[in-house]
Amino acid sequence: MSQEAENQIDIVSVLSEIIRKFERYNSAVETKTTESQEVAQRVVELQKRINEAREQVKLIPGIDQSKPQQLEHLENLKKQLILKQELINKYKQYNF
Amino acid sequence: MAHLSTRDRLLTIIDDIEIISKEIIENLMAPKHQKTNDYLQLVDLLVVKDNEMKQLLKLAAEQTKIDEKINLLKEQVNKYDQEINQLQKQLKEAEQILSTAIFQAKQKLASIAKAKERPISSEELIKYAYRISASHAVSAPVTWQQGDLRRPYPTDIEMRLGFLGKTDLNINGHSLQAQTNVIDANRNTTGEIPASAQNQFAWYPSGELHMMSGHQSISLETNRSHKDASQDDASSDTSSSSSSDSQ
Repeated sequence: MSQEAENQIDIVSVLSEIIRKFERYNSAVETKTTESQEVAQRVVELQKRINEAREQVKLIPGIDQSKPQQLEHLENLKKQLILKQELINKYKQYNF
Repeated sequence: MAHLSTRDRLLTIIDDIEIISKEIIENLMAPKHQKTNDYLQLVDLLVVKDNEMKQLLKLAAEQTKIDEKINLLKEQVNKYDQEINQLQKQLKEAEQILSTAIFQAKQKLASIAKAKERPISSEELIKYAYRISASHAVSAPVTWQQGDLRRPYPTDIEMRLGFLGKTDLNINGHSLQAQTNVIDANRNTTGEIPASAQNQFAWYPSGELHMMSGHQSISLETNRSHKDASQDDASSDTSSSSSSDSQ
């Protein structure tokens, strides 16, 4: 998951491409029209990438809490499990 | 920041990156005289934010693994919860059964204590049981079948065998001798009437209950007055009185 997310949330690379395209646009005299079109396309792509990154982040499971909170939750569940196991064993020991 | 979830932090960083990117692009698009020197700073900031985001993504991956463990534990906890609920229900049922049993036992103990206050000998109880069941009014005889002439109440024949039947009274124009011949004929067909007639209960018109034992008629005291009993003694040659509980 993390590799995919990282690939999709690689905004900086898109931005760096925009900057490169823009510099080419500035330097190139003859192909200004095409370069400007490409720059515009890249800007749109950047916006799209940012929105996709947001959607991806919303879908990642298990990040509703911070890591310390999550670890505390895990510990509580383990304790609960032990207590309930003991309770069940206690109930089963009684011969009615 | 410590209470912010990882998701919120990631979304915040993405927003920051968006703003920085827009700033950079605006800076690029602006004419030369409007360009600021913040360009390098913006780029540095962007790199920092990008690194932060990558760190948070690694943290998110770890948290996802922890979340899987949490889900497994939650499933187990749910199973244990179901088991505990089941055991609780059984305990509740057992408690209900026990409380009912204890209540009934207490009632029985109370009735035993009450019976002990006024004890009655078993012999008396058995005698009374015999008395009330001797006329087969309580249940039919074991050998009784459909077509048997015996009844739980005094039949016509038994009435004739009783005190009234043995008097000189002439009912419906028949002589006493003819009546007794008819009774004898019926007695032979059923077979058991002679045996039962020897020990038969008969109600008299006065309301008294007499026990026929062979040719003897023993009157049993009921709730009626003694005056009726003395009148019956005078009229009967072979009667003798005996008192007994008719309750």
